[in-house]
Amino acid sequence: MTGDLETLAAELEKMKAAFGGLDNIPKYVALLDQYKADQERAKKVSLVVWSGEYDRVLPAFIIANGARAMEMDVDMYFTFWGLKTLQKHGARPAGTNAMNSALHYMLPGGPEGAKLSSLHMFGLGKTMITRLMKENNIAGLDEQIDLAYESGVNIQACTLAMSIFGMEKGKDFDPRVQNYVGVATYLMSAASADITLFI
Amino acid sequence: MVDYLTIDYKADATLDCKGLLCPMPIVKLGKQMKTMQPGQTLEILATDIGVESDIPAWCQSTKNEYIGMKEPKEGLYTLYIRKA
Repeated sequence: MTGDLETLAAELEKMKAAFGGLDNIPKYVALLDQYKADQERAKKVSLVVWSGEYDRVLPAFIIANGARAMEMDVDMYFTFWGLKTLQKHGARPAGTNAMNSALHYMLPGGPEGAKLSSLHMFGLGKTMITRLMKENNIAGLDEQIDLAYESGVNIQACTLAMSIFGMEKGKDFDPRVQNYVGVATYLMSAASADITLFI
Repeated sequence: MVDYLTIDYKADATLDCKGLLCPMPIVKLGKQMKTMQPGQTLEILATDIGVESDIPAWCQSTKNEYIGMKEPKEGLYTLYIRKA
């Protein structure tokens, strides 16, 4: 019995040394639990889609859809030129004044109106790129957008850009856009994300 | 160097991703796996070279088991995974 107590005392001394006092043990247990929970929870991707060009928005959606397939949570925050990606299919926003009306007139937007960032050549380049994609059986931007809505990508429209472009909630947007948010929502998303990209 | 599976593996189901390109093979795979039971195995047929790296990455992310890949023949990639 005395021998057992001595062994126990020696073990306790070892633990005291390892944890800097036995009182600290719960703290380490909590840290371990936190670590385990972090390993378990779904990874999160937070994308800012600032650009509206076809060749920038397409990879953004490919990343988003790939991430959903890998069971990650995805937030896509559409601001500035990127916002035009979310406009109602086949419709051009009227705008709220002469300037933003002209903007929508000069920049059709949407998957069908999005230009290439280089070699657009008045639409010839885009026609060639989309034909090459079709020949290679690559899903186009409109299909990728449909897939994102279906797979539960959290699509957010920036309300500040909406004011500048004179685009109204509901009226000018694809009916599947549900979230109209500001920078605080994006920051909270990014703060808890494992991957953030500005596209 | 990759070690290819040499045995003929009998899977519970087959997913045809032939002709599909990034990210469609993993998108289809994600949908297919939702219909399967833990422990079941899936055979994936694909022609996009990217699957060689993407399927193991998908398994790592979703905590499913990557079994391996057969040596590609005439551009056909055959991979096996097991639902966790």
